[in-house]
Amino acid sequence: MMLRNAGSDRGSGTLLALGVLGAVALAAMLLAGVAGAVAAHGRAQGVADLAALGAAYQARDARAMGDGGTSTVCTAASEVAVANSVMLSECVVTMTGVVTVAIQAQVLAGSTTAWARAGNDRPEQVVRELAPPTRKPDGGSG
Amino acid sequence: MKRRGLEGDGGAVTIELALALPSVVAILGFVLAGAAWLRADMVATHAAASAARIALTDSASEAEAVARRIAGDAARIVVDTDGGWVSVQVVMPGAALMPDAQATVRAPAQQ
Repeated sequence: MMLRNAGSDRGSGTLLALGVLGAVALAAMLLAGVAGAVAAHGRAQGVADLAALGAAYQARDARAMGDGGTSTVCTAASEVAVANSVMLSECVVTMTGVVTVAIQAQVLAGSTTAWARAGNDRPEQVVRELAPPTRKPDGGSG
Repeated sequence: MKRRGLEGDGGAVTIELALALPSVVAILGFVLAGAAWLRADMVATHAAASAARIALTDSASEAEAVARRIAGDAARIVVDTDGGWVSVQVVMPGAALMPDAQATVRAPAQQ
Protein backbone atom coordinates (compact mmCIF):
# COMPACT_ATOMS: atom_id res chain seq x y z
CA MET A 1 0.00 0.00 0.00
CA MET A 2 1.39 3.37 -0.95
CA LEU A 3 0.85 6.77 0.55
CA ARG A 4 -0.98 8.99 -1.92
CA ASN A 5 -1.56 12.25 -0.12
CA ALA A 6 2.11 13.13 0.21
CA GLY A 7 3.80 14.78 -2.69
CA SER A 8 6.58 12.24 -2.69
CA ASP A 9 6.73 8.49 -2.37
CA ARG A 10 10.19 8.68 -0.88
CA GLY A 11 10.27 7.14 2.59
CA SER A 12 7.00 5.28 2.24
CA GLY A 13 8.90 2.09 1.55
CA THR A 14 10.79 2.51 4.80
CA LEU A 15 7.53 3.09 6.66
CA LEU A 16 6.01 0.01 5.07
CA ALA A 17 9.09 -2.03 5.94
CA LEU A 18 9.03 -0.78 9.53
CA GLY A 19 5.38 -1.73 9.79
CA VAL A 20 6.04 -5.21 8.48
CA LEU A 21 9.07 -5.62 10.75
CA GLY A 22 7.10 -4.42 13.77
CA ALA A 23 4.26 -6.82 13.06
CA VAL A 24 6.62 -9.75 12.54
CA ALA A 25 8.56 -8.91 15.71
CA LEU A 26 5.33 -8.62 17.73
CA ALA A 27 4.09 -11.94 16.36
CA ALA A 28 7.46 -13.54 17.18
CA MET A 29 7.31 -12.29 20.77
CA LEU A 30 3.73 -13.53 21.24
CA LEU A 31 4.78 -16.87 19.78
CA ALA A 32 7.75 -17.05 22.13
CA GLY A 33 5.46 -16.43 25.10
CA VAL A 34 3.06 -19.17 24.06
CA ALA A 35 5.95 -21.53 23.30
CA GLY A 36 7.45 -20.90 26.74
CA ALA A 37 4.13 -21.68 28.40
CA VAL A 38 3.70 -24.87 26.37
CA ALA A 39 7.23 -26.00 27.24
CA ALA A 40 6.69 -25.23 30.94
CA HIS A 41 3.43 -27.18 30.92
CA GLY A 42 5.12 -30.13 29.23
CA ARG A 43 7.74 -30.18 31.94
CA ALA A 44 5.11 -29.86 34.69
CA GLN A 45 3.20 -32.76 33.12
CA GLY A 46 6.29 -34.93 33.18
CA VAL A 47 6.89 -34.15 36.84
CA ALA A 48 3.19 -34.70 37.62
CA ASP A 49 3.32 -38.18 36.06
CA LEU A 50 6.40 -38.94 38.08
CA ALA A 51 4.99 -37.56 41.34
CA ALA A 52 1.74 -39.52 40.94
CA LEU A 53 3.66 -42.70 40.18
CA GLY A 54 6.04 -42.23 43.11
CA ALA A 55 3.13 -41.49 45.43
CA ALA A 56 1.26 -44.57 44.16
CA TYR A 57 4.27 -46.72 45.03
CA GLN A 58 4.29 -45.11 48.46
CA ALA A 59 0.55 -45.78 48.82
CA ARG A 60 1.09 -49.41 47.87
CA ASP A 61 3.87 -49.77 50.45
CA ALA A 62 1.81 -47.96 53.10
CA ARG A 63 -1.14 -50.26 52.46
CA ALA A 64 1.13 -53.28 52.68
CA MET A 65 2.16 -52.11 56.13
CA GLY A 66 -1.46 -51.52 57.12
CA ASP A 67 -1.13 -47.76 57.06
CA GLY A 68 -4.10 -46.16 55.38
CA GLY A 69 -2.94 -42.60 55.94
CA THR A 70 -2.50 -40.22 53.06
CA SER A 71 0.16 -38.00 54.61
CA THR A 72 3.22 -40.12 53.71
CA VAL A 73 1.77 -40.63 50.22
CA CYS A 74 1.40 -36.93 49.55
CA THR A 75 4.77 -36.25 51.16
CA ALA A 76 6.30 -38.57 48.58
CA ALA A 77 4.56 -36.63 45.80
CA SER A 78 5.68 -33.33 47.27
CA GLU A 79 9.29 -34.50 47.49
CA VAL A 80 9.27 -35.35 43.78
CA ALA A 81 7.84 -31.91 42.99
CA VAL A 82 10.41 -30.10 45.12
CA ALA A 83 13.26 -32.15 43.63
CA ASN A 84 12.18 -30.87 40.22
CA SER A 85 11.69 -27.24 41.29
CA VAL A 86 7.91 -27.20 40.93
CA MET A 87 5.09 -27.16 43.46
CA LEU A 88 2.58 -29.82 44.45
CA SER A 89 -0.69 -27.90 44.58
CA GLU A 90 -3.11 -30.78 45.10
CA CYS A 91 -2.90 -34.40 46.22
CA VAL A 92 -5.83 -36.79 46.65
CA VAL A 93 -5.50 -40.43 47.67
CA THR A 94 -8.44 -42.83 47.40
CA MET A 95 -9.12 -45.73 49.75
CA THR A 96 -7.76 -48.14 47.13
CA GLY A 97 -4.49 -46.23 46.84
CA VAL A 98 -5.11 -44.30 43.62
CA VAL A 99 -3.27 -40.98 43.76
CA THR A 100 -4.26 -37.85 41.87
CA VAL A 101 -1.81 -34.94 41.92
CA ALA A 102 -1.69 -31.45 40.51
CA ILE A 103 1.67 -29.85 39.81
CA GLN A 104 1.98 -26.11 39.50
CA ALA A 105 4.87 -24.54 37.60
CA GLN A 106 5.71 -20.89 37.11
CA VAL A 107 5.64 -19.39 33.64
CA LEU A 108 6.43 -15.81 32.66
CA ALA A 109 3.20 -14.14 33.72
CA GLY A 110 1.53 -16.69 35.93
CA SER A 111 1.48 -20.42 36.45
CA THR A 112 0.40 -23.60 34.72
CA THR A 113 -1.10 -26.69 36.34
CA ALA A 114 -0.64 -30.27 35.20
CA TRP A 115 -2.67 -33.21 36.52
CA ALA A 116 -1.73 -36.86 36.76
CA ARG A 117 -3.24 -39.96 38.29
CA ALA A 118 -1.60 -43.26 39.18
CA GLY A 119 -2.37 -46.36 41.18
CA ASN A 120 -4.41 -49.49 40.96
CA ASP A 121 -8.20 -49.37 41.13
CA ARG A 122 -8.38 -53.09 41.83
CA PRO A 123 -6.92 -53.69 45.29
CA GLU A 124 -7.15 -57.48 45.02
CA GLN A 125 -4.59 -57.26 42.22
CA VAL A 126 -2.33 -55.11 44.38
CA VAL A 127 -2.51 -57.70 47.13
CA ARG A 128 -1.69 -60.47 44.69
CA GLU A 129 1.27 -58.57 43.32
CA LEU A 130 2.51 -57.82 46.81
CA ALA A 131 2.58 -61.49 47.83
CA PRO A 132 6.10 -62.07 46.47
CA PRO A 133 8.28 -58.97 46.81
CA THR A 134 8.20 -58.08 43.13
CA ARG A 135 10.34 -55.28 41.80
CA LYS A 136 8.25 -54.68 38.73
CA PRO A 137 4.61 -53.82 39.21
CA ASP A 138 3.07 -52.80 35.91
CA GLY A 139 5.38 -50.51 33.96
CA GLY A 140 4.21 -46.94 34.11
CA SER A 141 5.09 -45.95 30.58
CA GLY A 142 2.62 -44.80 27.98
CA MET B 1 19.93 2.45 -19.34
CA LYS B 2 19.21 6.15 -18.88
CA ARG B 3 19.75 8.03 -15.68
CA ARG B 4 16.66 9.87 -14.65
CA GLY B 5 18.16 12.63 -12.60
CA LEU B 6 17.38 13.42 -8.99
CA GLU B 7 13.83 14.76 -9.32
CA GLY B 8 11.90 11.56 -9.86
CA ASP B 9 10.83 9.24 -7.02
CA GLY B 10 10.51 6.32 -9.36
CA GLY B 11 11.99 3.21 -7.81
CA ALA B 12 12.62 4.79 -4.40
CA VAL B 13 10.04 2.60 -2.70
CA THR B 14 11.44 -0.47 -4.39
CA ILE B 15 14.95 0.34 -3.22
CA GLU B 16 13.82 1.09 0.31
CA LEU B 17 11.97 -2.22 0.46
CA ALA B 18 14.98 -3.99 -1.02
CA LEU B 19 17.15 -2.55 1.74
CA ALA B 20 14.65 -3.57 4.42
CA LEU B 21 14.28 -7.10 3.10
CA PRO B 22 17.41 -8.46 4.81
CA SER B 23 15.94 -7.42 8.18
CA VAL B 24 12.77 -9.34 7.43
CA VAL B 25 14.82 -12.35 6.40
CA ALA B 26 16.92 -12.03 9.56
CA ILE B 27 13.84 -11.95 11.80
CA LEU B 28 12.42 -14.92 9.94
CA GLY B 29 15.71 -16.70 10.56
CA PHE B 30 15.51 -15.94 14.29
CA VAL B 31 11.94 -17.26 14.44
CA LEU B 32 12.90 -20.48 12.67
CA ALA B 33 15.96 -20.90 14.90
CA GLY B 34 13.77 -20.33 17.95
CA ALA B 35 11.30 -22.94 16.75
CA ALA B 36 14.11 -25.45 16.23
CA TRP B 37 15.45 -24.73 19.71
CA LEU B 38 11.98 -25.10 21.24
CA ARG B 39 11.61 -28.46 19.55
CA ALA B 40 14.98 -29.58 20.94
CA ASP B 41 13.96 -28.34 24.40
CA MET B 42 10.66 -30.23 24.31
CA VAL B 43 12.34 -33.41 23.08
CA ALA B 44 14.92 -33.12 25.88
CA THR B 45 12.16 -32.58 28.47
CA HIS B 46 10.11 -35.49 27.16
CA ALA B 47 13.14 -37.78 27.05
CA ALA B 48 14.26 -36.85 30.58
CA ALA B 49 10.76 -37.16 32.07
CA SER B 50 10.06 -40.49 30.38
CA ALA B 51 13.47 -41.84 31.40
CA ALA B 52 12.92 -40.70 35.00
CA ARG B 53 9.60 -42.55 35.03
CA ILE B 54 11.29 -45.69 33.74
CA ALA B 55 14.02 -45.25 36.38
CA LEU B 56 11.28 -45.38 39.02
CA THR B 57 9.35 -48.33 37.58
CA ASP B 58 12.22 -50.28 36.03
CA SER B 59 15.95 -49.55 36.26
CA ALA B 60 18.49 -46.82 35.63
CA SER B 61 20.02 -48.64 32.67
CA GLU B 62 16.61 -49.11 31.05
CA ALA B 63 15.98 -45.40 31.71
CA GLU B 64 19.09 -44.46 29.77
CA ALA B 65 18.00 -46.65 26.86
CA VAL B 66 14.57 -44.98 26.81
CA ALA B 67 16.11 -41.49 26.87
CA ARG B 68 18.43 -42.48 24.02
CA ARG B 69 15.54 -43.80 21.96
CA ILE B 70 13.55 -40.58 22.40
CA ALA B 71 16.34 -38.00 22.16
CA GLY B 72 18.34 -39.66 19.39
CA ASP B 73 22.02 -40.40 18.86
CA ALA B 74 23.20 -36.79 19.02
CA ALA B 75 21.97 -36.22 22.56
CA ARG B 76 24.20 -36.41 25.63
CA ILE B 77 22.50 -38.42 28.36
CA VAL B 78 23.66 -38.66 31.96
CA VAL B 79 21.81 -40.91 34.41
CA ASP B 80 23.06 -40.33 37.91
CA THR B 81 22.02 -42.27 41.03
CA ASP B 82 22.69 -40.43 44.24
CA GLY B 83 21.22 -40.66 47.72
CA GLY B 84 17.88 -42.23 46.93
CA TRP B 85 17.34 -40.17 43.79
CA VAL B 86 17.95 -40.84 40.13
CA SER B 87 18.55 -37.77 38.00
CA VAL B 88 18.31 -37.96 34.23
CA GLN B 89 19.93 -35.17 32.25
CA VAL B 90 19.39 -34.92 28.50
CA VAL B 91 21.36 -32.35 26.48
CA MET B 92 20.44 -31.74 22.86
CA PRO B 93 23.45 -30.07 21.20
CA GLY B 94 22.46 -26.92 19.33
CA ALA B 95 23.31 -26.76 15.63
CA ALA B 96 25.65 -24.01 14.39
CA LEU B 97 25.46 -21.01 16.74
CA MET B 98 22.45 -22.28 18.67
CA PRO B 99 22.77 -22.94 22.39
CA ASP B 100 22.27 -26.46 23.73
CA ALA B 101 18.82 -27.40 24.96
CA GLN B 102 18.92 -29.37 28.17
CA ALA B 103 16.47 -30.86 30.64
CA THR B 104 16.99 -32.60 33.96
CA VAL B 105 14.32 -34.59 35.79
CA ARG B 106 14.85 -36.21 39.17
CA ALA B 107 12.95 -39.28 40.28
CA PRO B 108 13.01 -41.12 43.59
CA ALA B 109 15.16 -44.25 43.22
CA GLN B 110 13.32 -47.51 43.02
CA GLN B 111 12.64 -48.99 46.46
